[in-house]
Amino acid sequence: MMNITKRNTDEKTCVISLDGTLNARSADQVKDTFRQAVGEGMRRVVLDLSSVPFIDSSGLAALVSGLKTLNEKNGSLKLASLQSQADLLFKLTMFDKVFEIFADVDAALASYSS
Amino acid sequence: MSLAILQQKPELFSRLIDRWLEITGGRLLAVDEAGELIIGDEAAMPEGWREWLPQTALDQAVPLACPQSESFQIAPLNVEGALMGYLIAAGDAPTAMFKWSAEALGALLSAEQSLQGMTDELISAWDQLELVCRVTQALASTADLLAVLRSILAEVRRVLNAGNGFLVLEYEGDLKYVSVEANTTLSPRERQLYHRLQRAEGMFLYNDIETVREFWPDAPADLVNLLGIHLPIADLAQAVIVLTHKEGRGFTAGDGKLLTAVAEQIAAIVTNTLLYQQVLAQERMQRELEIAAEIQFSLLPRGLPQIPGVEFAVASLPATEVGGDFYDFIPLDEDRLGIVVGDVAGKGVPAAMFTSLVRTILRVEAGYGHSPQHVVAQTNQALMQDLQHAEMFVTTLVAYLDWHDLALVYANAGHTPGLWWRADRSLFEWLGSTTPPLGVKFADPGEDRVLKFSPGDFAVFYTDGITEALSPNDQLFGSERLQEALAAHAGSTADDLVQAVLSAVRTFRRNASRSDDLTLIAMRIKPSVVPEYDQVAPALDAAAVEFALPADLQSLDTISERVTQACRALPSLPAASAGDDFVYLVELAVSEICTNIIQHAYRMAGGEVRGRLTPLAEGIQVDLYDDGESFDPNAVPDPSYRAGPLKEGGYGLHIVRQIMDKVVYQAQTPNGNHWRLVKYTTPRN
Repeated sequence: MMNITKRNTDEKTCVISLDGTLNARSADQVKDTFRQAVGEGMRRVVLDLSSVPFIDSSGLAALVSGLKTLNEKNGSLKLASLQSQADLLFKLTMFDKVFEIFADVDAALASYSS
Repeated sequence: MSLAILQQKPELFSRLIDRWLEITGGRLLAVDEAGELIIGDEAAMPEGWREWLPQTALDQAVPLACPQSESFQIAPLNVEGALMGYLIAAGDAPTAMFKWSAEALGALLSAEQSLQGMTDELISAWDQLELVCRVTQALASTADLLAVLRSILAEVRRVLNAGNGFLVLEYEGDLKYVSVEANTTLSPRERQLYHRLQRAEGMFLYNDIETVREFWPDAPADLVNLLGIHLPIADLAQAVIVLTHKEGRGFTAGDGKLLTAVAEQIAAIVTNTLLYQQVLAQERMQRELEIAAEIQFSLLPRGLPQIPGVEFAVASLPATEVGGDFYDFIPLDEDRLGIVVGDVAGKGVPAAMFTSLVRTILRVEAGYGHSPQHVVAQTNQALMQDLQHAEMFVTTLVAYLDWHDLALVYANAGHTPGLWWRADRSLFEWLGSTTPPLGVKFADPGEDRVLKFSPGDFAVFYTDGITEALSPNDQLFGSERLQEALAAHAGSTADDLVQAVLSAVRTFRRNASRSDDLTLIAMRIKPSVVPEYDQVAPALDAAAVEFALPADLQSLDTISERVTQACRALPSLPAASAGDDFVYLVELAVSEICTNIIQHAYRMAGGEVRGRLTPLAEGIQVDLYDDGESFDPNAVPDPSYRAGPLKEGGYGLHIVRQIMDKVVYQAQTPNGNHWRLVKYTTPRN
């Protein structure tokens, strides 16, 4: 199972941190987390992937689902702190063009205020 | 009626006048009853001649009571029995000759008048007949035709004033009788007349009882005149029209002409109708054939069997729209396939119906798990009565292929022998008859024949349309030519084998038209049971790691761990991040495939995922097996990342193909569906 923590920085912004493998097994859990956050009124979500050593296409699908969920509410999803292998997958699949990816959570949060 | 005819057609009289003048030197005139000059030269007559005309009707030629010396004669002109006027001769002439001339002119005028007299009535009658004729252009049934003929007959009889009449139409050996009174049949005496008329062609007109009796011995006592006509109607039919009991003086030549014309019209109507009926029948037959062909085609196997290590190819060409050939592939169990080829003796719809029946029964019997010999014997028993009743028989070859053991069990019920090419010996063996054809006699099931294939072997099953194909000079294609064509392509694919035979048959036959159905099934054991994808970089001595885990998403982590361990143990694994990337990518590929197996092959309903991780000198080989549903990897579309809305899935296989050096999928191998993934530690082209 994947450990997921959520930290709100204001009433519309939060940081969600994942800890574990992001694959078919954890994909639904991650999708639910996005839906829940949007349901709470969150519109700006930063996803901290620093503790995710492995992502596969099912994991990518969960992230796409999150992106769609937020985009529907005119919100945004930003990714932060990708491990090198996850970064490899994003480049391989060209999902690095789909998502906004930041070096760390702070950089992602800072992008909202600028 | 008057002598006006003479004015309308002066040629009738002028010739007589000329001859009369030539012979007697005198002149002729015609006057009507009132003494008005109709034709002739009045100058030849003395003044006041009209006063000497007789006051009462004459019935014979007499001298004209003329006071002068010149001699004049006067004779009555009787037209159709009625006095119409007088013929006057000026000058000396024998009375007998004058009398004869008057009578001859009267007869001539009678004939002319009877024709003319009919004209008005005929025109209206003709219009009606024409109308009838137009109506009949599209007559579809013989019943309609007879109704029309009846109305034509009634019309003609009315116009010609005949008391009775009938019409007989002979068509396809059948006599159709049409009389004025409906619902009567041809009486024996009418039949006699029909045969008399039939023997001679043309028109018959008799106005005296003696001649009538001579021609028609059994004629009714009150019958004194008869007008009949016999007409052959193309090659299709013949007809006879008879009219009798004409009132008055009997039938005239004009009646005959009218009847002839009507008969021609009837011939046209009958021809049109019968031809139209023939076309309709042909069209119906054509449509029936098309339907039968559609049904038959829909019953043939849709595709070719997909069996690991075995190739199939089929050609099936019916001689007509529907044929007596049939073939079938019947999945029997996990590792056996039934192959059926057969031929119903006969062509067309009846044969096609039997092919469907035989195929179905064979399929049902094979489904019970019986051996080929039993299947054939059971089918024979089931169909014996029907086949014997239809005077047909069926030859068939039923074979079961076990692709695990490469064994073939077969029964051959009088069918053209199959051919087995033994690659190791480069020779053919026959799969000959083991039992009589179906529908010939009851026979106990014989012993199944078994043969064992080796890689590279092939077998062909075919119908006699191949071996009995005829060249333009009537030579048979024969088994030897078939074997030559096959042997020349012994190393080729099943498809090439079929094409080689078809091409050889085509060349042999040249322009001779194909007369028989033609069916050919080729089945080839691929040259090596070790597929080419096994020939990869040599494996290391290090033992392969095997695993078998429940097909559950929870197993993904365990599989990933195994993959990581196996990769880390590779001596050729690059150092630092390149090595980490290698491990991750193999792990990623395996995760993708296993996720697919769990979610799609097994549909999340359990099962087992088996794997083997084989370290290679320069990489790793991953074999994954499942027993779930097979899929067509080529059917998975290449997802587009840039165009269209983002998709939440379907990227897995694309990623695997991108990151692995070899990706091979084979459905339904003896060990289940098989994925083989290879990745080299050093990049290769």
